[in-house]
Amino acid sequence: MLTNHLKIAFRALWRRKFTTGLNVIGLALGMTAFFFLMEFASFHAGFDSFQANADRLFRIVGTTPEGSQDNVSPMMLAMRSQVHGIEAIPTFMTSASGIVTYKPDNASGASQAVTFKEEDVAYSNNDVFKAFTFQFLAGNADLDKPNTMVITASAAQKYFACGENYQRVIGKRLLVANQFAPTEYAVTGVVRNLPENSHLRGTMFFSLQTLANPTNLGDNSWARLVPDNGSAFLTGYLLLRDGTQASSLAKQISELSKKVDPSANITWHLQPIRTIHTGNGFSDPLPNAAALKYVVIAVSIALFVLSLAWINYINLSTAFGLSRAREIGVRKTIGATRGHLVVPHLLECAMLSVAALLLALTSVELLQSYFNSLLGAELHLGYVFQYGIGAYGIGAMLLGAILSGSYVALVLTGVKPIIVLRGNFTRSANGRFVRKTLVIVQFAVSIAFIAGTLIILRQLDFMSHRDLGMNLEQLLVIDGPQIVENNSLSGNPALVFKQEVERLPFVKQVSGSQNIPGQGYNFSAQGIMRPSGHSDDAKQSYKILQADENYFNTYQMTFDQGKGFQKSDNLGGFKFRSVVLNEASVTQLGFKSSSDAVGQFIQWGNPSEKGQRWQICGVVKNYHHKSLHDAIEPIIFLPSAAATGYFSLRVTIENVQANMAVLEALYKKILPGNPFTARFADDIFQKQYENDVRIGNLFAVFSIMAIVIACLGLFGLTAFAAESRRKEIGVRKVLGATDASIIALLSTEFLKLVAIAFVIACPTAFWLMSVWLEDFAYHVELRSGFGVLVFISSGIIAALIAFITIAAQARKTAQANAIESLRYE
Amino acid sequence: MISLRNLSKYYSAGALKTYVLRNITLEINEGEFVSIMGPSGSGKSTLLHIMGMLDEASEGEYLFLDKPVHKFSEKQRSELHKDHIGFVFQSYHLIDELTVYENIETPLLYQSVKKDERKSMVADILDRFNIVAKKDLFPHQLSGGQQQLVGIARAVISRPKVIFADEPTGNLNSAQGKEIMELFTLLNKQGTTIVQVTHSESNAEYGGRIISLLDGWLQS
Ligand SMILES: Nc1ncnc2c1ncn2[C@@H]1O[C@H](COP(=O)(O)OP(=O)(O)OP(=O)(O)O)[C@@H](O)[C@H]1O
Ligand SMILES: [Mg+2]
Repeated sequence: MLTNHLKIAFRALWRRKFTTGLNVIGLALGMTAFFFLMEFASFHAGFDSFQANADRLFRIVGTTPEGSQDNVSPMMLAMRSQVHGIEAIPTFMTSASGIVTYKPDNASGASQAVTFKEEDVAYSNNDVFKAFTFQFLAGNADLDKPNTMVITASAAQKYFACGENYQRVIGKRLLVANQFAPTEYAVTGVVRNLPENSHLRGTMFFSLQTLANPTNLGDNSWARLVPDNGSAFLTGYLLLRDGTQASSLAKQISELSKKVDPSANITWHLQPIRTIHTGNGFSDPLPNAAALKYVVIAVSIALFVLSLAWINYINLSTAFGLSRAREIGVRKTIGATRGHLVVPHLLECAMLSVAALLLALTSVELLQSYFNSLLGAELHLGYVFQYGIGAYGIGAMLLGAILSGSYVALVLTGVKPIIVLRGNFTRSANGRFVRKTLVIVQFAVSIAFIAGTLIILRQLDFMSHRDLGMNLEQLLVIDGPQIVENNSLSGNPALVFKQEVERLPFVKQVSGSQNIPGQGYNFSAQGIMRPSGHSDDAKQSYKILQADENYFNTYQMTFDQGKGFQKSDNLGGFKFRSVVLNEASVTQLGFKSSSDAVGQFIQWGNPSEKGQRWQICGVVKNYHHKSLHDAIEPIIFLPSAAATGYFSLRVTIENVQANMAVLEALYKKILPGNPFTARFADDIFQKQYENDVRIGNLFAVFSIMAIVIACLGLFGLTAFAAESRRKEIGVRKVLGATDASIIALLSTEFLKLVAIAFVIACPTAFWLMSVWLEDFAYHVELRSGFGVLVFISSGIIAALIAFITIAAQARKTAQANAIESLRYE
Repeated sequence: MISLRNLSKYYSAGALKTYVLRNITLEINEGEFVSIMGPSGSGKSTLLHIMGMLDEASEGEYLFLDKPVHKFSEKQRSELHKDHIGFVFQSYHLIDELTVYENIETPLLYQSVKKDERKSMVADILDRFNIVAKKDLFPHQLSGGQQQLVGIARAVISRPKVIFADEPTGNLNSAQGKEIMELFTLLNKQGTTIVQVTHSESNAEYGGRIISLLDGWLQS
């Protein structure tokens, strides 16, 4: 019986190749998009789920009335002995970035030292490897001993070129030069790289215990690992014993910490590690990556695109179903009940779905790397099937198939045989309203997507062309050295390098600074105020940037009033005679204008101490130190001739490659052991928009998909309309109608639907895109000529594509021989 | 077997009722061969559809095998229809994507007849109708007469008590028409009641009784 049904369903599908094809392609497209989006959603929703102890593993986070912090102090962690229910306290210290060097210890010295700058590294204790899930490829973790380390497979390969033979790496030593004293670490274990969906990152884990030795600490007394050190520089986690209540434990810790330090007023929380990425709901007060938003958006779009595809299926099937009405009527006259008829239709739907599914899985397979490059991620289908959300997704897909299949089956089998037998079944109003509504929905979605894409592209364009208040062209940024061995003869070699670079013929200007535009500041500071200031002013926050006297002219910033500082304005240490403000600082400090500010004093700390009272020597015009996402912040520039975090070089355009080689050679010579990294300043700045560009790409892809699906549906419906009006068209042609007028006749009906869709799409897209644009402090204005233009052009694009689709189909009908279509009836 | 009492059918368009059948009282006995005649639009097909339970009367009573069909739900009617009635159409109405064999077999599927039994029943009919050679062809590969033979074979396969035929020879030439009429006569002799609508006097002759309709009225 089933094989019989299958055979007949297959024949029925095969006989209507055209509709079947449209249906399969439409569904497959929708499913492809669905799978991609579900990969994305599952990836983010499933963050840290791979941790075997995820249910018992928490990050310690504190909140104060002012905000939250995810750092803890050694003093805080020392309370361990006073609370029960803790199995392990994995602890990290992430301010570890620096230069890592491997010097092969063969006597001949034939092989070169291997040196890289490492950002993704941390100090940690051995509990980390007890609590978190790591897969050891060789050795094990022994981080409670000083001078040991665990590295990932990729780090092992990078430094030791060990291939798959990780055992070889055990016992090898790496020299780490960062803000602490340069220290050697022996590799005791190699672990598999952390999965992409881990909030915990890192390629090297140095033993935190090493820093317990004051010699290794260097002059960083803040990082002393002693129980009375209250400075919060550690990231702490807790692995709870089975059955321990996280909330009561958190309360206990808070009470203890208030006893130890009543002034701090910190409430401690245990944050489940699975919520560190997504956040626990949308307004989680604890620090998190807020990825839930993306999960929700992706799932919504996924369901939307999938429904578009099912709408298509319903549309096409009920439209063309009329031609099946005869068959159904006949079957009823020979004894079929509705039940008999529904089964084969569901079977057809199932076969279509399976075909579409196979096609979709194939396309996902083929397009995965392209999609990943659009997104800058490493996604694969595995994610969809790995976590709960994927299962719901698949459920939704099945439900869609069952619902739309059943709807179609019910509509089609509802035909009364009498209609058929009367012979007047060629046209029926049945479901026409529904079909029209569905077409409107499809086009509304498409138009909204197109408008969204245009707005995103415009915003990206706006950002890349906005006058930043500085000139980033032909500006090269070289990372300053980490390993600096002061030479008593020539002084700081980093400054020597700067002087040498200045002499190069292709370098016009050089500036040294501790941070750079497009990246960040030195730090934020509170308590800076005018001598006459109110005590509340101390709560205002300022960004601090230390730079040398060439910073402003190298970046070609303009002064509103006054001028930049001199070398001599730095009085040594953290003491300054004069400083530069930007306009935002002038306003925040309460000066009426820049000219009002120049010559005045501000203070930080004790003004009677030398160098804590600063004269304002100039006000630089506001410029975009960060991306246009952020409003321009108040910045205070402190003179620091010895700032060597980054060197910014204004260079000539010619021979960039050769010049780069010259720079590298010079760098290697003067600053041996430091890796040479040079980037263009505008690349650094544009990198801030990486995510925005990705979203733009995604939108473009999905709007294309949406419009293609909508057009597939429209194409089919026009074919149907043309078919059922064949006779009318024949008569009109005999009466002298032109092809064009017939195309117009068939098009207007559908274009009307597109027009209605436009009216629905505009306010929706307007609202959604306004929300998106709010993420940018500086953005294009939708309530403007541009906005009107975007929406009108989206409408026109959709209408044009719709018209081409319709016309292609209508033309065929219009050009058919009129007499033939009449005889056909 | 079929008993109509004061049966009427109208279509309402707004407040206006258009009568298609008026006050029909009619008796058809088991084993009869009845021909319904009348001008176009006189209500012949409508009457046939009501008797065949594909359509409902607006007023009056209809008893089929003494069961009050006019009181039945659609579901009950279609049960009755399925068990006792075969239909033959002027335009054959075969199912395009099924072969001759499958077309004839379909009613048996709906009646849940077992596979082996189905096989022998279909083989038997194919044999009787002399279309064994055509069994794997699709309808569009057959001539009109052959298609109508299949249509009749499909109608009789489930051994109905009565066959309703609406202008079964309307699309056929006279030789083909004659063949169909002879087949009906044979089936009638074997016990099947036959009610046909026809425009042809000579076809009507095959039946034992002629019923005439004019503007929905029964002429006697
Ligand atoms: N759905 C309907 N609404 C209104 N009138 C209808 C409808 N269906 C049929 N009629 C009318 O009922 C009348 C009888 O139709 P019927 O098909 O029974 O005639 P007929 O005798 O079979 O004619 P023919 O010989 O042409 O087949 C016709 O006048 C027709 O217009
Ligand atoms: Mg008729």
